[in-house]
Amino acid sequence: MRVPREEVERIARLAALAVNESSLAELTTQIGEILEYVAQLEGIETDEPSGPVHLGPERAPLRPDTRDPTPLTLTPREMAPEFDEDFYVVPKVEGVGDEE
Amino acid sequence: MTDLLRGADEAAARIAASEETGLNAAISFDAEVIRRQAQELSERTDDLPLAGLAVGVKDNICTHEYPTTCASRILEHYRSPYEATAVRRLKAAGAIVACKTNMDEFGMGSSTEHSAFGRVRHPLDPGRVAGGSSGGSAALVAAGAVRSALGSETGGSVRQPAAFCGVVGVKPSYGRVSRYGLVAFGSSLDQIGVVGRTVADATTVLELISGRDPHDSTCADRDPLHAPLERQDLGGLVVGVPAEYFPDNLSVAIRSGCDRTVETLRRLGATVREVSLPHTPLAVPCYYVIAPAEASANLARFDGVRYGLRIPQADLHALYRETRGRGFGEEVRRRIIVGTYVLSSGYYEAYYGKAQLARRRISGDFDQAFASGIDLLFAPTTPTTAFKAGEHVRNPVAMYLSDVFVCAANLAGIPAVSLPIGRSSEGLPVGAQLMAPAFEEALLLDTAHVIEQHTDPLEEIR
Repeated sequence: MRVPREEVERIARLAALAVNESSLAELTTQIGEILEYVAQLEGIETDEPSGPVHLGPERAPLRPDTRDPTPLTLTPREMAPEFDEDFYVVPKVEGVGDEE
Repeated sequence: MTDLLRGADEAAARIAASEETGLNAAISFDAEVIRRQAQELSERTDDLPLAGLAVGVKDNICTHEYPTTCASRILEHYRSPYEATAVRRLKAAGAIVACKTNMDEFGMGSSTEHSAFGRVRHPLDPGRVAGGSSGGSAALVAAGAVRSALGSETGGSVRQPAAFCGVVGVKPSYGRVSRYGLVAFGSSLDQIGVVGRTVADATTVLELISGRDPHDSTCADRDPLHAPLERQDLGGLVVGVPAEYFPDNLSVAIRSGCDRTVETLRRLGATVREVSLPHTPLAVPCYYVIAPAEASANLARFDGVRYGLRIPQADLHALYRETRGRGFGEEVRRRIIVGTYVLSSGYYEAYYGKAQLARRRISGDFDQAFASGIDLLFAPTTPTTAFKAGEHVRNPVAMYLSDVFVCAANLAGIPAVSLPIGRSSEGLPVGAQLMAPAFEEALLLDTAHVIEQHTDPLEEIR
């Protein structure tokens, strides 16, 4: 199945993944091959409604409504790439607040 | 020096020796960390059923002792602030977290070639793969460095490398073992499993890590597994052999090995019946829609903000894209893109909706077989023995097909065990698996144990 290169670029943007220009051609081919392979599912004839298959417990088990924090050996400050006071530090979103 | 300290030093020496051969089965390993745990154990006075047992832990299972990298650059050096329930229970029983084992990045692969830290060598032939994604766990047990190791299965990732390396691999029922502290890949499929030198070794570990856990709402409200392994024969047992697991192109050694084991089953008193699981051919395409779809959502959390790698950029969205684009490896990027594609508007019903239907039918096949009086199913674990490194790495679909016999059990949530049944003429291990109805691990493991007692895993299959 041929997937246009632009479609792979669009999906990569949706997935927040930068794709190297030099690997895009091979990636596009491979994505096409994978989608062609899984497309055999299209042949399933059915009137059944689709929906996720549920394997876990019938319902989530309830536990006492008490505060029982899991002890963490590291704080968010120690784990985060950049942290200041009580906040994760990130760059601004392009275009937001520019006019102020 | 206490026995515990001596044992810990010996375990560290075995792992170091295995790694010096170039196995590359451990991502994190430190003899001092092992010794420190043994020292702490020697001060305990409570009952320790595993006293000093050194276990490997797959590097997608959170531990305090070592980083948890998922074999990914995006989590390189990452230390979890908490530990997995399975690990906590093993340590409570006296086990030592000896090392973190190498794997395909985030569990995505069937050869452990998709590790950011280099591929795992097959312990018997370094030019071949150890299987995956729990290839490090299987190789380390096969090399004799540890008796047991934790792995994880999303689509056969414990049984397939166990078969390739000639050791035992157990995939429990979905919900048997808490997933708390297992880094999520495909949440409706993921389970922590066990690699063991023998069925008994794997069973001991599985018993200790299983049971209800308030930290995981998908964990079944059941007591820990009790599997005494007390059968002497298989009288009264009905074993189904699914025709779809024996295609014309099945490796000769694997077909002959399975035939030989079927004869063993009969000799030990089991009734063996051919059965049909007609939707088996849909298992791999179904799996490779559902697993990437779930992965694309689960891996959204790795964005360079809260933990892990960050590639600084002037704009937040650019930071996400660059961090993820450079932090994830090739196979993970491919699966995220496929997963995002099949969930996106216009494609959802054609791919994800159909995959859910296929999953229901695959699961229904097992239900029907077990309802017809079959106690267990017997089948090959893999279509071939361990393949050569690089053979499938540029061809994702060929790689996916090595999971053809293992991923259906994950889709259905049933337990399965792979055990070695002989060697091919090239000296490579051949594995076969048993599958059971959900939560019938005691029967599954008892039967595997009987087969193991009557099988020479080193005997050449002719």
